[in-house]
Amino acid sequence: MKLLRAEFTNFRILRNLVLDFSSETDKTLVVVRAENESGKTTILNGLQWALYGDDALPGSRRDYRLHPIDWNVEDGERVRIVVEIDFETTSIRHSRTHGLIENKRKFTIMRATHDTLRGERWDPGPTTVRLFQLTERGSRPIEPPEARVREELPPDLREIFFTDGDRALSFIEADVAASTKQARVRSAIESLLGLDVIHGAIGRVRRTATDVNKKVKSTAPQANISRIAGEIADHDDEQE
Amino acid sequence: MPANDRKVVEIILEEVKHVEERCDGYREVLADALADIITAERQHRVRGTNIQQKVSQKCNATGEFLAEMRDSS
Repeated sequence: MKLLRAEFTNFRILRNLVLDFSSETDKTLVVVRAENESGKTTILNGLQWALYGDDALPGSRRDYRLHPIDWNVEDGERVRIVVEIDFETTSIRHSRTHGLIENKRKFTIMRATHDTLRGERWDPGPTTVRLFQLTERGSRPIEPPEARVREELPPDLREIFFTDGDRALSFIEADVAASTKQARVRSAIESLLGLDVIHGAIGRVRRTATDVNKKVKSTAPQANISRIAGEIADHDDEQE
Repeated sequence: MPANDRKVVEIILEEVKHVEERCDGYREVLADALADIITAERQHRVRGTNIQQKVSQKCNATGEFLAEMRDSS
């Protein structure tokens, strides 16, 4: 998954921010550099919320304020909050004649909600998400959106891709046993390589082999043994 | 199949080239079956399909190919 563009509307400090990410193949790095408390981590949280929903927020939806803290009630008690991301995916498939074939697709995901302000408190509204595939003939909705996102970017990779310096340090320098750190790094590498899929496939092929072996043992050899035993008996009769 | 599977698939397909060619076309059929199984496994992670049945069908198809080639030789 390659992020192309992100637009934040009233997502905490990000009242109206558009980020255009690099789409050039030889310039793949995007650096977001800004003053402390200017919203860099909020960008990370907003991207994760758009892709994974309320579960990806640092706190529960009810306790984690999404609207700007300095929102003026005179502008309305109901604050609409939207994060929209354009991204591109590259899938590959194997063809006997053409080898591995790449297929690029573009999508837009839009997650929205609203907070209704009640004095010092607020009531969080329901969250909606829509995903569209962008084609030359227009856009078409994809259902269910979450499944498509999970397929491209499994949730167990979320913390690895959407990280900042503090989170990275806590990942490798946390006050836990060395074996725990090793297990974390191992799990992350396996997820990055998609080895869990390979492990799953190997297990199923083995189960298929076991099933086939059971069938062979329960059918073919018995029949063959019976047939051969019959032939031996006939042969013995002829000898007599 | 996302692009981050590409390296893994390339390695598997490279390994298939070193598998004994038990009959004409065996390696190609094996490569197809492996690619299909990995694709099915990934789809299963998202949609919850009847993955064991799909894998068994792919394995059986490869076995039947071997059997047909043996019978025709």
